[in-house]
Amino acid sequence: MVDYVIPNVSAGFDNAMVDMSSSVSSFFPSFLVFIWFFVFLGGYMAQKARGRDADAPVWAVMASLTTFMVALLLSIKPGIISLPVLSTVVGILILSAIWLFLGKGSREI
Amino acid sequence: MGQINFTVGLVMVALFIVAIMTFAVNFASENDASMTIADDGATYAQTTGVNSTIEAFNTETGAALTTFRESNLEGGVDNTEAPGSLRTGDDWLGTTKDGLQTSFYSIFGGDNSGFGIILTAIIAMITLITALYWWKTIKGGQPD
Repeated sequence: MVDYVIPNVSAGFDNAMVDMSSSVSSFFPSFLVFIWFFVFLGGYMAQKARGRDADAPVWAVMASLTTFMVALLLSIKPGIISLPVLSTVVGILILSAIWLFLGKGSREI
Repeated sequence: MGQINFTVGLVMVALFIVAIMTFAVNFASENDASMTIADDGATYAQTTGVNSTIEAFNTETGAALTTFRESNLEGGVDNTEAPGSLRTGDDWLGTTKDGLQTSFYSIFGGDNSGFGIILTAIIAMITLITALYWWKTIKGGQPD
């Protein structure tokens, strides 16, 4: 007689994410793109709706920082995202920062 | 945008790059991540050069201040006697250009990607702005 071992259903979600990435390789890069546009468009439109001119470089940096943090979390487990994806996220973050710091505008920075 | 704002902008870009890279590397080492941004040699190489840039900039500005303090203006002349001492910051320009180039290559690919002309135009524009500010300093205009 074999004892029934109750499966740990809460474990293995990271393996499910690795399986998702291996099945559809563009899933997590598309997810990162979604995060970027979600933060950028949401913040830009919300600021514009308050009646003032929206600051696109600031929201680009905010969106890039959010995407960067999510990409760092995804990079902990091997197989979810690849190094070129992480490098691209960092590259977009640096470009957003250059746009913010070297662009003219009414901000204090 | 004045020269002071422009130089501050270049310094902020360099410090931002250092902060991002350092945070990413330390996050990866503390969490035993499978990969780290340090594995990408081209992207990570930017941080190693900025430390020496900071020290060189500190030395440059100190020397420029000393030269300026020890210079004299002749009566009736409205341009600075030692304009060369105020032409600092080309190391920061190099850091920004390296950051632009590495970011473009990581997004669009290398020199043969076809988008390289955009990068060339942006770098040329920033270089021209820097040169025009230096010319303004030599001519005797206000640095701001």
